[in-house]
Amino acid sequence: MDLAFIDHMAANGDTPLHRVSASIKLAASAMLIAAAIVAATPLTAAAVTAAVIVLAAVTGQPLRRLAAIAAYPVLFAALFALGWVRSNAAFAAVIVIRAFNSGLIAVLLITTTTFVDVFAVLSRVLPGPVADGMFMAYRAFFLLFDELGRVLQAIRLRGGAGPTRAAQLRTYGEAMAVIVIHAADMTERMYRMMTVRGYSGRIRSSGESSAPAPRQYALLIYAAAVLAAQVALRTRQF
Amino acid sequence: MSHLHIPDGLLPLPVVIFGLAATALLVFAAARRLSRSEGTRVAPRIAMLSALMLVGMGLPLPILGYHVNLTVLTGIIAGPAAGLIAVFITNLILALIAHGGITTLGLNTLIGSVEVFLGWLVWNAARRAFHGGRTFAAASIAVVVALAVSTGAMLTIVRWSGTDPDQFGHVHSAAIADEHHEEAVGVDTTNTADAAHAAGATGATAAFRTFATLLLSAAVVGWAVEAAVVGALVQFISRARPEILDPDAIKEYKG
Repeated sequence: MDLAFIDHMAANGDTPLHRVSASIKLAASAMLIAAAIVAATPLTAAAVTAAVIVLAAVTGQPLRRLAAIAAYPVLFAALFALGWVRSNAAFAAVIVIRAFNSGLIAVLLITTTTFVDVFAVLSRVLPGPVADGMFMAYRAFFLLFDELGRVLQAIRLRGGAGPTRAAQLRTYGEAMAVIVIHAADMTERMYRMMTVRGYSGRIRSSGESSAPAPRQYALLIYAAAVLAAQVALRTRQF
Repeated sequence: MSHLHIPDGLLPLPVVIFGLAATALLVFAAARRLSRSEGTRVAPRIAMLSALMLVGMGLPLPILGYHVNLTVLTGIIAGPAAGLIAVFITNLILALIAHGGITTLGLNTLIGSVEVFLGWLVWNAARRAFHGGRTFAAASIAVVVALAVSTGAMLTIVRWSGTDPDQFGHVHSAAIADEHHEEAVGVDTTNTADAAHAAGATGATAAFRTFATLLLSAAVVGWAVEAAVVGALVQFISRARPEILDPDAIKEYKG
């Protein structure tokens, strides 16, 4: 789970992409993902990969680390692609490249945009409990993950999880049970704390303070151009 | 990996849109119902469930490549409505952090919510059958049934959504059509288009069989792993804090 790295990058990074408004980055990401899906051959799909890599490189992102994170969905896609390898290797390749592309686009967005900014945009369309639940879940994850780390450390200090795989699975299940109990108590504390602060069923996000600068629209134009090129190539069955 | 995320770009657009629309309807309905019944208490509860599912993925299991989803546990603790929203939030966060499945967020949520719903249903039935005892067995049975059905649901979606390379462009060449020409029994393949179509159908069936075999081989191990972990987890909680497994008892306790 790379959530800690992603959060660190988003909060502390200072690249041109970090300074672009969250709404513009979300719209550009949607267009790039559409381009990734429209790409129908290995060559055109690879062209989308190249376009995203160029964007990341020009704006000074840590490409290797981003590519490593984006490779995760490729594992899932490979399982699907394996079925197609014998009958249609080109289609299998397209499945894998598309998965990598969408992962790369997502990670480029989320490492350059703080979760609070993403939340502010999404909370405009999601129902109250869902938007608030998402915001609180993100914060709670780090607290519970730290707690899990402490429980696992205690298990190691006491001689490990067990001699057999079955014993280890049981120990890890019980370790997770400790986290569930901790989470149940945290839920109650969080609810009381929010009630005291005047929570009425909707966390209000302040939104973006000012209109995006005209140069920020360059990102939108770039993404639109990539999408238009893919649509044109698809229409011509390149 | 006890269940598999459907990656982006595999399924046809209408199927993807159906998944998003159905999920949006269900999530809005569940949010409305929960807001009425639980008021402001619902958001922190859903948040914790989602956070638990995300944390569960960080549990270092001794079997390489596997992680627990805890969707069934979510169903056991929270029931179907809160569980559905928790699965949606978890999938949304996972999609944003490049875990895959941005366009398939809807379908992946529907599959996850099948696990939540069946987990809740089978857990309650098994508890009644075991007269409130044998929590390890009850939870493990709920996990295996829920994951087996959700895997079946995913295979059905992939099979019947008509994943066809021809829809994605001319990646299915005439050469492949010729290669499969004789395999397409019972179809008039004198026409090139028919031959290509028949060859595509044969290829799709063979591809699906390979995919299903691979998936089921990996999934069965995943079900066993998740059943063992969730069984131990639920047994521990039933001894230490049984009220967590009984949401109605919590409501009564809080008045």
